Amino acid sequence: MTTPPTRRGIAVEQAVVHGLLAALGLGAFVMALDYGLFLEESRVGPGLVPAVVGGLIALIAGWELVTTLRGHRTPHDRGLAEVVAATAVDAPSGGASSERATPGGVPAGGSGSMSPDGGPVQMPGPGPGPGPGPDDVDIFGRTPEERSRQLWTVSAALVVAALLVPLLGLLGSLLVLSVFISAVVEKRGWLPSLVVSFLAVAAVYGVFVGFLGVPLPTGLIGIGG
Amino acid sequence: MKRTRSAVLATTSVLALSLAACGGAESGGGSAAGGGEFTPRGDVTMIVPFGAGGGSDLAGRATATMIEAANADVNVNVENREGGSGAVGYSNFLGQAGDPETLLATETALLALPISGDVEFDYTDFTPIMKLGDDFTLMIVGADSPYQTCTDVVEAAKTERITAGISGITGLDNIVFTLTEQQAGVEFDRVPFESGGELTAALLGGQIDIASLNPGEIIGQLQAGEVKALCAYSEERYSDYEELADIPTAEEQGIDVAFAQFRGVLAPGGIDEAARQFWIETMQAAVETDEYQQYIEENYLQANTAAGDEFVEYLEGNNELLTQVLGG
Amino acid sequence: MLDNLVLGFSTALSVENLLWCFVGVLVGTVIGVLPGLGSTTGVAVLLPLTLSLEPVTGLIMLAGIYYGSQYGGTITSVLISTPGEASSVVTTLDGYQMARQGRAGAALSIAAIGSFVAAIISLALLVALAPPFAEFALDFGPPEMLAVMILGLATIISFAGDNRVLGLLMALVGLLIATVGVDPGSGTSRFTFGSIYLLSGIPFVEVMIGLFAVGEVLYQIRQGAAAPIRAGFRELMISREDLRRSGGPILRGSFLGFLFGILPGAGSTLASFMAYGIEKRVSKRGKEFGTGAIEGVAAPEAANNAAANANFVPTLTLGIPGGATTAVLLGAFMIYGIQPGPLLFDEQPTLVWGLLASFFIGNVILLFLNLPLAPVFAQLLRVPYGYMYPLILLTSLVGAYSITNGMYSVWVVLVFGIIGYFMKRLDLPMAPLVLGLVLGPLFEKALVQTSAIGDGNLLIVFTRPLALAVMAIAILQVAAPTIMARLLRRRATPRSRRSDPADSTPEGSSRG
Repeated sequence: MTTPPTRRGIAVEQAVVHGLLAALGLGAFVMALDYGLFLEESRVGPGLVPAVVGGLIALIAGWELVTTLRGHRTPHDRGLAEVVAATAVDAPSGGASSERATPGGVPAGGSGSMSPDGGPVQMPGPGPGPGPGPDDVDIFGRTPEERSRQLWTVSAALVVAALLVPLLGLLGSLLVLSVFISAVVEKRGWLPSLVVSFLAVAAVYGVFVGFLGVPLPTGLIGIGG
Repeated sequence: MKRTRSAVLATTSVLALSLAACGGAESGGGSAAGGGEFTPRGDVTMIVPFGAGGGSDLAGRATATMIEAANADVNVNVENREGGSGAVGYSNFLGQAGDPETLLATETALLALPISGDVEFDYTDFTPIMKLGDDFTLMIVGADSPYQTCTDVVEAAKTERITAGISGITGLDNIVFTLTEQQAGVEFDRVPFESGGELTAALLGGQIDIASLNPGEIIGQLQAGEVKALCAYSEERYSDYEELADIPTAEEQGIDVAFAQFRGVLAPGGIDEAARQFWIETMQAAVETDEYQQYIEENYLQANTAAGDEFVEYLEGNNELLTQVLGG
Repeated sequence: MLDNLVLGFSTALSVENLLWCFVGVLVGTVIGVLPGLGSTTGVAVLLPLTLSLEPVTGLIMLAGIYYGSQYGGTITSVLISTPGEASSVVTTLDGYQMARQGRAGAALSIAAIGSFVAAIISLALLVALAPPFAEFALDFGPPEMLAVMILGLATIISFAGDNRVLGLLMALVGLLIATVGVDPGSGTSRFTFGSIYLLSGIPFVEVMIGLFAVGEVLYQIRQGAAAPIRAGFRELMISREDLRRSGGPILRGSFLGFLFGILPGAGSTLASFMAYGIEKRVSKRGKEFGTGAIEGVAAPEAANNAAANANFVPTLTLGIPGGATTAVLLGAFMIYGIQPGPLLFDEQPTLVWGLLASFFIGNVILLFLNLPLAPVFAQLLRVPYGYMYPLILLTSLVGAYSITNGMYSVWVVLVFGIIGYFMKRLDLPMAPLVLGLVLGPLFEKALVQTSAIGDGNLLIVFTRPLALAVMAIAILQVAAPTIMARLLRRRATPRSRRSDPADSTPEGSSRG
């Protein structure tokens, strides 16, 4: 069976994550040995739980890494493969099967991760699949590449906003964040973006500062607080 | 009792007024460096390095109330800054150096944290203002325990296994137990818990033999007769409190151990002398208020106060003792 | 008893107390809806505001905030998969799926009804049987708690169906994260790398906001905006069939929740996870769990509400907090100058019975507030996601900040937001991670204590009858699925064959 490119992408990411987890587990295990597994009189010491847990993580993630590298036969992937096979049988069109296997279309959509045994759910959305496929655009006409770019833009904006807090204050930098997301990421006009963001920040101010009395940091130029 | 207190209050509010009135004249000369009289600009922040609802929070809020009662011109906002068993709050406070509009509700963590070695501050980095009182502990056993005195417990520990619940390695209870062990040459078997509530449950359920708890934490169980208090790890009996006055001190029972968790107020380091004087005077007035009395009584503290340099001295001595116990 | 109830209701029904009860419930709901604020934070943050009230009134309001915010957390769990606290994580599993299928109204209604029934059952138990239950809870020493924690960790099996290995892996990661900070036994700082912020560990509320709120937003951005869900009014209403299916789960969840709730510690979270796991086992529709089964919402909601009330058993009868929020409430008692403890019922009858009566009233208010509002809240899903997510991000970050009044919390949220995105993308299950994170510290503490009590011998778990019984249940739970699954499959296979091929559970994926 040929692997669609997106499937390979997921497999690579899986390999990376399992590799990282294995390293994390191993690191924790080694450090935990230093903390001491047992105290005097064979009492449970500070290192015991982290060592056992870390060791198990290293073993399991290491095993998953090896199986992922050898032809993607992880239990998870097998689940995915079966889904693909099942949908291929159900729906005669080849397009459906590749749709289900796109990164955006991981089984069970948004919260599939929390319902590992849940099958793909019919998402009310465009098209028959659980999410937009590789060639699909979402309802705002965005391609997957655009969405990927948006994702990283928003993530970076979050980090930048947090870094700006000492300068602009929490509400100040959140205002900037909100305007940025509305205007640049969601491509709404500057005026509506400003108005909506200002209202949102005012609402947050009202609830948290006005009502709950949380002292928010004002930053150097002293917005909010 | 009540009458005397209000009399005291009357005189002290006069005193406070006169202090406030002549404060400038008095401290003006001594604080040339600071540039004369100090009054806080805007609201004062009282940082509580623990979460809302805990003992430290209680102390911080009570202190804020008594400061406002003593000086109507000062408005104090309480801010909880929890994390790292107090380390986060104190470390943030370190960053407030030179800011006389911020105070911190302090307790033994001020000394215990630096000894444990994970933080970058110690008590000399701050300006001690006032010690408000001492919270000692009582040795507590279950109601059906065979022991009647702390001496019984120590004697028993020589021949059998005594399990002692503690609320943490740097906890006051672990310190008094360690001091007791050093004194009597015995050993208790520690079972670590995380709060007075957990210790109480373990005592009631018969999971541990002894615990050492603040009176405020255990008074409900004591009055209900669910537990017994064997001795108080304090210099003097709790004679101000009817319900605790009968509990002998450990020293009376031949164990020379007394150790308190103190409650107090710190100002940041590097504030000028005028500000320091202002806060010491304000706190001296604050501990004469009704609000102070109420706080002390409701929490079963001993009202041992120490202002300014006296508080520093107390911290020095306390730190030495703690280092001995925890550092070793 | 009757006198006490009359006294309680006459206190709670005074105009002032009724008003503040209503305010508390309403404010609590709003707080629960804000991503990032749960009941513990809500009560802690609002505690100072109640200081000007009479003690009984203040406590009534704080308690209202407590159970109101739990319901508010359910609303966000269902609508945007963002639980307000660990105990409503399980609700997201089926609640969010129901919402995606246009059945948010039904999910919210059953949560309201389930919570209400559970509240009434648990309150009746609380009023009638608090002292004996409190005595029972005291029998749970460290070895028993260790057994309970093992039982709790064994429920991971229920959340890991197909990906049992990945579920286990994530639970282990949760446990490992939980070991960061000062260890409970010796005071050693572990994995802190010299940071004072890590001394008290990685704060789990912030982790949850990151994983669920921020992680979900990032995932949705990458996923592409789904069309807003437009459901007909009929679909928003709960059907008779829904009610029929939920009766059993609600009752079982209520009793289970009460039992776990009286144990000091992780009662509510453990109860909701266990209730979900048990329903999944006993339900004929076990395989539909995770795809929008109403039982998967009803049972954990009932359980966590019952547990929240049962938390008051040790709190009121012994003065020992049953959970994080009741610990803050106990602090409130102290601030009001009321000494909690065994004598509380005798010394402060007006306060205690007034408070208990207000629970009844508050829950009735919640039911009448939320049942009609459920379809209205469900309409929020019509708002395009592009408009909604900036607001979710804003409140998440400010909410995180308000937990400790520090930027550290905000950074934890951002880091775990990105981790959450990758977990969703790679289909790594989150519920086991949360379970590991919540139970980790309790498990390790119980382990250390048991080893201290047993003088280095952990096997005392098998010598104490109560601990042994719990261990037996835990072992059964691990061993049973293989047997049960075989039995259930035999029963269930013909059923699923008959079902519509377009049904939401294709056979391939539900093979366990």
